[in-house]
Amino acid sequence: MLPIIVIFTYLAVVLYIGIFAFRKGKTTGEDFFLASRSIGPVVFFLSLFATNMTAVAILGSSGFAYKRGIGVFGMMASASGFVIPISLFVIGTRLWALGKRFGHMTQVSYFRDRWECSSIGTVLFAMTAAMLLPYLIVSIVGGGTILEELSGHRINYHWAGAIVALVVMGNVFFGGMRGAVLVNVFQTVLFLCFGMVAFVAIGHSMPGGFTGTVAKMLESPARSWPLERIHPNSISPITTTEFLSYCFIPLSSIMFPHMSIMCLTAKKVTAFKKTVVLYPLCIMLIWLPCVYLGAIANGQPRVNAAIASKSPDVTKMLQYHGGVDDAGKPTAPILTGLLKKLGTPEATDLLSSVATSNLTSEQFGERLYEVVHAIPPKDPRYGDLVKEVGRLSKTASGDSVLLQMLRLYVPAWLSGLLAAGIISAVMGSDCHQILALSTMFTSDVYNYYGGQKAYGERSSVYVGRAFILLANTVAFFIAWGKPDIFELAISWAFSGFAALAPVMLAALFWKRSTKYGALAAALFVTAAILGTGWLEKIHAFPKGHKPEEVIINGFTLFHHKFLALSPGGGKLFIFGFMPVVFMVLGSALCMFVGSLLSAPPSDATIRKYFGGTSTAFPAAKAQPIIAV
Amino acid sequence: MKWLIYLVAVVLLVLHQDFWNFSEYKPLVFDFLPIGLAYHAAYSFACAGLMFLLVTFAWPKHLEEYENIPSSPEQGDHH
Repeated sequence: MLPIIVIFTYLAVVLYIGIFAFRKGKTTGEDFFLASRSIGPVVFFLSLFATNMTAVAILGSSGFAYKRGIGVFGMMASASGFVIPISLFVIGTRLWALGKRFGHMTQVSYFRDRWECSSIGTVLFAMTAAMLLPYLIVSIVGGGTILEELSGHRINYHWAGAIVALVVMGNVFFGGMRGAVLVNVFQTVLFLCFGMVAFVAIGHSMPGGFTGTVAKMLESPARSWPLERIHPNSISPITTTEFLSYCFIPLSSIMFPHMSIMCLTAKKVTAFKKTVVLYPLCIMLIWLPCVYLGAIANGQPRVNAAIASKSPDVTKMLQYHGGVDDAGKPTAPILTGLLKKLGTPEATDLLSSVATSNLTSEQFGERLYEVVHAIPPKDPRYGDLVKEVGRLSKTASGDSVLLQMLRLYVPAWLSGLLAAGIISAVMGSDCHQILALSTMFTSDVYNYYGGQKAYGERSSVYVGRAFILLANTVAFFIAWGKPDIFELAISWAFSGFAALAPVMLAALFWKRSTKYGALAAALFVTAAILGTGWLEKIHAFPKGHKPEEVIINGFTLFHHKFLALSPGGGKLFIFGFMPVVFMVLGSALCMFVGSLLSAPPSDATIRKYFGGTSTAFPAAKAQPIIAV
Repeated sequence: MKWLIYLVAVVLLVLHQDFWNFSEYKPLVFDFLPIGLAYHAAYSFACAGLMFLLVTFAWPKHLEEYENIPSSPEQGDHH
């Protein structure tokens, strides 16, 4: 009960922040959407960092590490620690200057003016909005999942998601950018403080502590795989080509509308200095504990049992009380067989409880752990059961691993505080995503097509608020089906936005770039995303299937197949590389060729953005705003 | 100086691909951190160092002149 009280107190604070920001705010569009471009350096840093901290960073990272080991940190976090600050330094500062000088509120309004295009700008709007929506859904799914877990399923996932969505909507609806920024500051401070305390508390409470758990994992090659990237026992090892591919993903950060819009809110460009320097360290502080805990959770039988109890097999087993499902198939046949064969009082009792009462997955997990714990490790049946629990745990979503560790190893009050921190991380970025969608719609559609001119400045704020209600409701209903957190976000949003980075770089630094180059790149990226999604969908194994690689085309180069789906994840790889690599390179090529084959923007526009005179390709050294 | 820092950035980017640690967990730093993880934690500090050099020696100072532009016309009432 205590964690729930803490979380609801937190949610009330978030709502209050929105109302507080509402009272402080003005009725202009620039104030509602950009906090009048008045954010100071410390608040700017904390808020920008929090904008990027989503369910993916916290729950997804530990879940991913649970399935793939410690390599997740280098692959995703330290790569981000290099690429994101560089992109803020190179692109973010220029966006800020352009916004300040010409009043742009979104990327699309800049592209439209920079390349003298109208309908192509609308295409870019539609594309970015379509890619941002999944990210928004991820936040609601993450928030709903956490709240459900922490309430011990007293609040079901749908109600939990609705509560999170409503609080976020209330904050942004009233507070606009100022509300979102203040929530993010609150979130970062809360999470950094309690996250560290929880990390130490888990290490202190788990049997064997960090040192003992790692030592135990190293006793057997079958258990030590999470401590390396390539290991013979790893179901899905991290290859060098995949590791390299992931360096392209953080290019997406600055292209996410909520991040680029956030860059426009700084009062001074010097606010970027602190952010750029501290960003790698803060990423490390958040990701390192999450990844480490996720990886070593494999060495904790109690956590494994808890995760296995959430696998599709066990969920069905509990639903059908250990009998057959609607298709007449036995539920969790291997586990049931092993428990029957074991015949210990704990195993018999567990099977009888499954048959006669409504066990929750948490109760089942705890009882399963007791069964395993009661068998002497030298007994051959121990190995079989541990192996099956391990197999089941890998078919479940690993995203709840951190929450399971909190539940099992940390006092309830601290668990509540950290859970509030996790929810805040989810909600903070959620606030910015909704606001970004609303800003884009208002600026790029409503204002652009004459709404503001016809109905006045205030009308854009009303339209923005109405859009917040609509977008949040749509996202909530899509999140209803609880799509997998990590897969969805990675598949669509991250790769797509990363592939748009060359478009932004061309707009800022290449005078000769044109709207047709941008259109070619956008169409290529859209086609690549749809093609990847289609190949993954038609060739992937169903959920719960034994993790195996799917070879779509076996042509081999340097030991890598031309087209293959990864074991377990079912993600597409092209010669061992992730599609994002080809998407970024292809987008750059389309931008380059498309621009050269079309007429450049007018001299007036080029003078406006570059200061000098227009020259044919190669362009002369860039001047004022965009000079490096 | 600027170009030297750009060179450091390229070197750091290359150093991210620590292929020599891929099948290795030893040494265990502080007895609980596998080397593959400790290396990238240290790498994060190196990134922060690089960013410090960038903002100190390669900062786009010309952008600071836009700080004096008023952000928006003074309009709109408080709620």
